[in-house]
Amino acid sequence: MNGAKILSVAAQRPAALMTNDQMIGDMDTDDAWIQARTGIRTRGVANDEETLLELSTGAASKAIAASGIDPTSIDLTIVATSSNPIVTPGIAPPLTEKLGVTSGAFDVMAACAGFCYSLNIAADAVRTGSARNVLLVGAERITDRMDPTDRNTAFLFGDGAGAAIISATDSDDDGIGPVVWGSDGALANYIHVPVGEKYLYMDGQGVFKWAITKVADIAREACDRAGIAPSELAAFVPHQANLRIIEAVARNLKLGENTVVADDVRYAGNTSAASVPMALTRLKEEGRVQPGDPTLLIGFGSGMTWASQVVRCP
Amino acid sequence: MTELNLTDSATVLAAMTEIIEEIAGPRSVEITREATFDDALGVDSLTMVEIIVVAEERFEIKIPDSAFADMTTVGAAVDYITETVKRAKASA
Repeated sequence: MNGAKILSVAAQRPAALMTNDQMIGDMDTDDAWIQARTGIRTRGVANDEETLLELSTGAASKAIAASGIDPTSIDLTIVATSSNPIVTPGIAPPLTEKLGVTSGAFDVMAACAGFCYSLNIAADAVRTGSARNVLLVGAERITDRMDPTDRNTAFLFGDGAGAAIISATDSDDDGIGPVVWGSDGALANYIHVPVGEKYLYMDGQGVFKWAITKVADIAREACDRAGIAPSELAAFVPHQANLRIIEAVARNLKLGENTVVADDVRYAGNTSAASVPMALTRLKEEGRVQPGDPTLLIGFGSGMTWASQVVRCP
Repeated sequence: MTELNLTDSATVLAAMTEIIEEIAGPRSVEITREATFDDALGVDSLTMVEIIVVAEERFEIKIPDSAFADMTTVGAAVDYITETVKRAKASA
């Protein structure tokens, strides 16, 4: 059995960053309230040219270049997304065409947990020899699903893509820890798009209450399975749902005083399946994490679903 | 917290003060029974959810969403908790 490691991670952000003031319109709120409740200052909003495929291609190209691999050695391409505008085909097949590869290609629909779910699928594929290298993309145009008049959701979400190359390595060089994944389908209505409708609905208070207890428990279990204490983590990269959730979970986890907590949500908003790779990319770009650093990833969201693992930072 | 008498209001007030300061940080005013969470203590609804979640764990009770909507003051929260603990002990 091989080992698996993340060789590289990269992000593609929309050109336009919308401030809170630009989003408010006629709603009864202001920038101070939005920042206090969510931590969000800006979010990327994709224009018509920045399609889901274009965002995915941008992130994927950067990740491939950073990894140093020959793109033709990618044997599997996975795109985690919940904002594909069409039923079929998925984003992954046309993405491979844009990149000049003919790997296996499929999409994963696991909402905000999509990247971490798919990371484990990718890791298992390279460990078993099903793939030499896996391209994994988390990509969203979530703002297409936002009701601009809904005070509960209009400010929260943003667009973007993050990508990673997962590669086979020696078994004693494995850099992706055991996954903790699960679901609670009884809470499926917490975040959903009602049948026949266009916009996303979210029970914000229900999600907040669930997240501040459940997410820390999941994260602790992922650390336990990886054989590391939360206080020993170099970085904590949770799904960037809302800074208040991130801070509450970080408090609950009792991280080390030097553990860096990802906060890309301030600039990018909640980018669903793209948020974990985008947040990790920002930490690397800012020099806040170094290659090899033990880093806890956790995705959680609509379903409710979750997946988490400790990795060595690429 | 089986070693504390949670049917005693003063004990619960002290425990809630500890929780509020743990979650929201030290407050600029004294945390009294009369203090309103929102206006006096500057605790918004999201922080209130966190406080209630921790209170549920510490006091080993459940506080339904319908109950904490009425908890506008620290005293209201303390009274709810002490009554709930008393009812639980009476039916044990």
